[in-house]
Amino acid sequence: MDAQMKKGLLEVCVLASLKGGDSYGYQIVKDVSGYIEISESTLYPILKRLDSGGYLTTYTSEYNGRLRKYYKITPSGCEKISEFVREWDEIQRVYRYILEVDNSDQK
Amino acid sequence: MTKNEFLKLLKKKLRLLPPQERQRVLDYYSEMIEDEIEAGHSEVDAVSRRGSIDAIAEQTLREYIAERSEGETEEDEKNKLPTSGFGKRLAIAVVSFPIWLPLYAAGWSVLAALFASAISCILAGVVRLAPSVMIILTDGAAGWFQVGICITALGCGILLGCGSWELTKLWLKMTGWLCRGIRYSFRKGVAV
Repeated sequence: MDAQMKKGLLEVCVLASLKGGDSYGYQIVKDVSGYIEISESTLYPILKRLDSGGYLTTYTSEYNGRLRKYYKITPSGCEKISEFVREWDEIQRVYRYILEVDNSDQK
Repeated sequence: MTKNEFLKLLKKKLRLLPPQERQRVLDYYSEMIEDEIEAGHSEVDAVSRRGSIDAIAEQTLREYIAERSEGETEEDEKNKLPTSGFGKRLAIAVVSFPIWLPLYAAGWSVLAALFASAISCILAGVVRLAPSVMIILTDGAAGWFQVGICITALGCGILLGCGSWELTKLWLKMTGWLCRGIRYSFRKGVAV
């Protein structure tokens, strides 16, 4: 998959995984890796980018005698997911066009 | 490899990152390892599942540089800055040369002067101590006064020496930060 496209998809996937509730790095990797290939070293910059973009916030909470960083989706993050879903029709139109051109070239 | 060994090595590999950012990365991987251990893996296994430290460090640095570059390019466009990052940094470094070099040299001169004062005080105290004790035998009050002066000089010298040593360490650390900053600034791909 194209790196830029994957980056965009991963951002939305991470936000989607947070929509179900606050989560932490290890759990996010587990949740998302069932749908798209992701490693923790890929996740780190995504979380950082989403945080600096205001799509999520972070807080630290004690868990089993240690501190764990949790990520929480913001209204902007929810809006980003909705935006992606709204754009899906357009993406499908482009996809169909590309497919059409590609098939006619092959004939 | 244990978690601590992993984090120590990763810290070393990420030395080009600003300390705060480096700590954030280390905390992130530390948490990942701890979560993996809690999920039932051994510490060694949890560490080995993180993959190669070189690959992690390389990706982290690459992402950091790309992110900085992205952010700063946007900023450049906003401010309509025409020069490239490298050229601008080089220009700043060259133009400000008459300011930063004398300041840096002055820093070392002050430290040298402090050390010289400390050594002088200690030497004066030590050298004059024995004759002062001898004076006590002939003139008690004057002798004790001199001994007092010698001990005070010794104390001041030791205090000044310790202070100068700490200041030198700080100065060396600052020099290290400066060198790392300059080295990082001139890396390809980092824009102003």
